[in-house]
Amino acid sequence: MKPESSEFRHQHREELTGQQTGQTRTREFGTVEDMIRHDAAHTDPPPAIEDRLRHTLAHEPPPRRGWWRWLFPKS
Amino acid sequence: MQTPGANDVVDEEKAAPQPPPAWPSPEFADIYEEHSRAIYYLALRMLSDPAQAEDATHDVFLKAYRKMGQFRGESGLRTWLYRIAINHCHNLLQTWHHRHMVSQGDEGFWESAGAATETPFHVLATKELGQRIQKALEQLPEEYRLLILLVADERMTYEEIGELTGQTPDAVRGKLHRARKAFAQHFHKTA
Repeated sequence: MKPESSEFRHQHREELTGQQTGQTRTREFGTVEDMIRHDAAHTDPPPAIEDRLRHTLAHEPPPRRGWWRWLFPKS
Repeated sequence: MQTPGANDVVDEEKAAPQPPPAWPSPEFADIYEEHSRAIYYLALRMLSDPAQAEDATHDVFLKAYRKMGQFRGESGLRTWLYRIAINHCHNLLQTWHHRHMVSQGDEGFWESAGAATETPFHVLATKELGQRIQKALEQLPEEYRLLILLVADERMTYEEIGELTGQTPDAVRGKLHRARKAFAQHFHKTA
C-alpha cells in the first residue's frame, strides 16, 4: 500500500543513565504509516496477557470443530 | 516439629509463581505469537488506556478461540481478528466511561514502555513518540483513528480495510487522505 507523502520529525534529547548530554537527535519518518509502524514495532504486548489467556483457556472446552483445518488445510 | 529453615523452604515453594498452563494447541499458540502485537497495539491506540488494552487483547483472543469454528478462511486471519478487536473496542468506547471521561493513560505503563533489553535512551525516545502519537490520535474521530492504524499494518490492503470498516476501497482512500492530514496537524502540535 503506497502512502501519500508527508514528513514527521520526532526530536528528543539524549539522556544516558540520568546524565543529560545536551545532544538532540531527530528521527524522521516519511509518512504517518512509517511512524506508526515504528511505534508498533517497539510496543510489546505485556507478557501478563499471555499468562492470563493461557490460564483462561485451560478452563475452556475445546472448540466444537477442528478449526485448524481452515488455517492448515494440509494438516 | 520442623526447624524454621525447613518452614522457610516450604513457604518459598508455596509462594513461587506457577508457570502458566500449556496452550490448548500449538496452532493457537502460533496465532497468538503472530498476531498479538498487532491486536494489542490497535487496542492500546484505540482505547488510550494500557490496562483496558491488556484486557481487550485477552478478550479478543478468548473470543477468537471460542469462535474459531466459525472462521471460514474467506478473509485473512489477521482481518478476522481485527474485526473482533474493532467491535470489542467500539463497544468499550460507547460506554459511559469513555463518553464522559478522557483517560490520560497509565503513567506507570508509559514509564515501563519499551522492550526490556533496550537502553534507557531508546526507551525514552520510544515512550515520547508513543505519547505524541497517542495524543494526536485522541484528537481524531474514531473512524479516522481506526483507518490510520489499519493502513499502517503492511499486511492490510485497502480492500480488506474497506471490508472491515464497511466501505469501498475508494472511500477508504478518500477518508484516509483527510485522516492523514488531520493527524499531521495534531501531531505537529504535540512537539
